Amino acid sequence: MSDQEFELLPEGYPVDSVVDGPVFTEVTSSGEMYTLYRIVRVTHIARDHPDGWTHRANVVRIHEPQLGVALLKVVNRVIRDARVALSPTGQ
Amino acid sequence: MLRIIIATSDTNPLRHLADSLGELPSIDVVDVCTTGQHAINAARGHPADALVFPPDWAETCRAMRLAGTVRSNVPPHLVLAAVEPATSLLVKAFLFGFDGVITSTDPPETLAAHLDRIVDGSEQLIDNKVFHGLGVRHGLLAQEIVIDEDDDKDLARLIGAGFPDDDIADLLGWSIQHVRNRIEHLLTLNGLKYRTQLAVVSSSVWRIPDFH
Repeated sequence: MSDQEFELLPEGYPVDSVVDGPVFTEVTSSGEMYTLYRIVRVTHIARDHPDGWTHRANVVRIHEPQLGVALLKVVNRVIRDARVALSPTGQ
Repeated sequence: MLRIIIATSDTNPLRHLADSLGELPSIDVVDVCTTGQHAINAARGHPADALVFPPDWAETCRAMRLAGTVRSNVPPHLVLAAVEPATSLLVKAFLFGFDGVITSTDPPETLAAHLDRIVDGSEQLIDNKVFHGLGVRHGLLAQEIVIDEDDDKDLARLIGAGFPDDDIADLLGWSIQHVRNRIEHLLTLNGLKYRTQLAVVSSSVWRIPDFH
């Protein structure tokens, strides 16, 4: 996740200026497991990311809450794809 | 005395099992059923310790439960009988809520002892090592889908029909984000872990015609 591919957004950048809804589901590559997240803050916008990611965001897992960082593919204000890396819990 | 009801089918006949077990003094073969309706009537008419079904009747047991067939306080144990119980059958039996799987070609005394262990609970499918670490629960697929919003009925039907998320989004006019969020909701609501489990439960035709 190179920072050269992402531009930092202002801290108060509203989530609803990027997506219609802050709640999204990450689906595993097998297409079998679905995990629900809520965007806390959209932190970065991508500049022609080679993998097509458009944004980076801080997220929280809704069930069994845990913070993480998500790569998002937003098209027409809809999250088409997401990859989430959960933050270490420190335990 | 162990009271059992045995179901038999053309593809997996268990008539010989009924005959051989019926000769044992410790077993009372209450009825031998050939149709779902027959099995319902037998289960309603006679208290039984175990219902023994052939593998192709695995889904019948779920339909019988849903039909409210078994009304006793202590429902009979559900057992599948197969010539060669493969691992896949064990998994199916477990997910469909069966209590045990027996080898139909075992000697009658061995079968009776096996049935005894299943009925008294000393042998349980969950103890089989094939289930260790799988993260599935007994009877996972022996349930009706719980839906708390009407829109999700169509979603569940389309998942059961095999449509991928993108096609469902097109068909229902929803965003892909909303489709996935609703699928996650259905999975969580029903205690399911995988989308395929949702598809299997949604697609199964549980109401067998001769039950009505």
